[in-house]
Amino acid sequence: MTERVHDPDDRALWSRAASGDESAFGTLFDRHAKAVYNHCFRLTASWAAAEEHLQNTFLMAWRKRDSVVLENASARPWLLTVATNEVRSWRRTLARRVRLFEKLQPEPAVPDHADHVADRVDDQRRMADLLAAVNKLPRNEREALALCVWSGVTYAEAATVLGIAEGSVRARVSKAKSRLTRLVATTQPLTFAEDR
Amino acid sequence: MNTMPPVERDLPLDRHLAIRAELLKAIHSPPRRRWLPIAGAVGALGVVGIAVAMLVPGPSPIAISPGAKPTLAPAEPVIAGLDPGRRKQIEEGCDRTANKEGGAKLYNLITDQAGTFGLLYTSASAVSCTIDGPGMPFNAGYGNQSSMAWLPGHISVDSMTAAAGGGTGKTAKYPGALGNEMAVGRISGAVTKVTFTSNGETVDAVIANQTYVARIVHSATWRIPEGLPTSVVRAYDANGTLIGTVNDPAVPAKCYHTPDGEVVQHQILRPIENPTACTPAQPWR
Repeated sequence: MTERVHDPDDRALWSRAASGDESAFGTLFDRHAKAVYNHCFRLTASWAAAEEHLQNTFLMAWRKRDSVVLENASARPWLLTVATNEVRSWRRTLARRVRLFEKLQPEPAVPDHADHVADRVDDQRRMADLLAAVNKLPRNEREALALCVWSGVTYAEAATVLGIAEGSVRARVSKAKSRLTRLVATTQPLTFAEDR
Repeated sequence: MNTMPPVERDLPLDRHLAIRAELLKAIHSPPRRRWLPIAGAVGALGVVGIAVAMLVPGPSPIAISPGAKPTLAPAEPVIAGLDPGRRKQIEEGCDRTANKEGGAKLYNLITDQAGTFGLLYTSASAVSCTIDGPGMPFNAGYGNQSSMAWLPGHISVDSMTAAAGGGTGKTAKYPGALGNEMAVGRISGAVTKVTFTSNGETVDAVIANQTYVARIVHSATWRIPEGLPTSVVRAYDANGTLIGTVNDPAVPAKCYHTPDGEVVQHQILRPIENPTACTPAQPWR
């Protein structure tokens, strides 16, 4: 059997993608789609919106392929940052529309073909409640929280992609946690992921 | 309220593949120019006309390299020359006799000495369907797949069967019905030829819609021999290079995983030589 399948790291894949190798780009998508999808969900509280942002994130990544050199072995921190910017841009557009129409209907739960539709709808409700509190945080704290606490990016990786010192990332996350703790109605003990 | 978000969820596979396909299609399309002024005839007549035409770029051809995702395969399988009414009849008939899920689509259809056979797929199962066979117009069985969207390498054997002949004479259950051995399954876009070898006999499979059907036909009196040797399926690319082998005792079985870490394997289970060293699965369609 002559089949040989290699498993190159993200930097090698990114380099090939930048040269126009679509299969390398597809592999990057396969590798990181789930992380970006869940990150976008946490920023929007909508699985349907998360799908749209996932696609836009990778489109944006493709457009930037010539100008981006991956600093980390993994493309994930950078992709999550692109996703964060994509959602932020979408929010601005949405806000303009809200102002224009002076009303915004809550997004209806979108039926999903996947299993566990009820669970996904429940996810959206829970995430919407949480996001309502998180959105009261300053933007930089909010995004640091989503990146480092919810999506598991290390402080060092976040510092690299955000272009700030690691200590600043830690400070933002720490402030976000304590502010959020005060904001949230504490009917049960608060839980945060382990720091890394 | 807990400050941790809900648990991570997988992107549904059909959406994963759809988004991936849209992305790869988009990156191959040139920027869309909605309006392009076109200079009209100039020259002897001295007339310069300006026309505005809407240009809609056509899909760009995409070279599919071995290992690449076959992103531009049609969403709906196409059986050349098959009447749509007949297709519907087959899909509904096979669905009815086999499939508990519904929605099976016909991907491959062959007619040989042993009769007509259709290979259908639902979102989770392969449906093998004998059409216009003895006793009933449709006779199907299904087998759930570990993953429909991914292949264990370049080829997946979704079903491998052997059927004795129907016999001859007055006591035969299905007089004259021929025996056969068959292998069916899915292939990656890189595969252009599939062979099926059993008991020293090799046949080429019929390939359609990134599926294959290979059948060795025997006589009506053929019986499945005791200790039938292992049947082997092999896949070749356009250069004739062997890129996948299933069930060959001389080739160690390998394991494959999806990007989410799910292990994808053949329906034919053989011990995997090194289960900790799985290689990436290939996407199907």
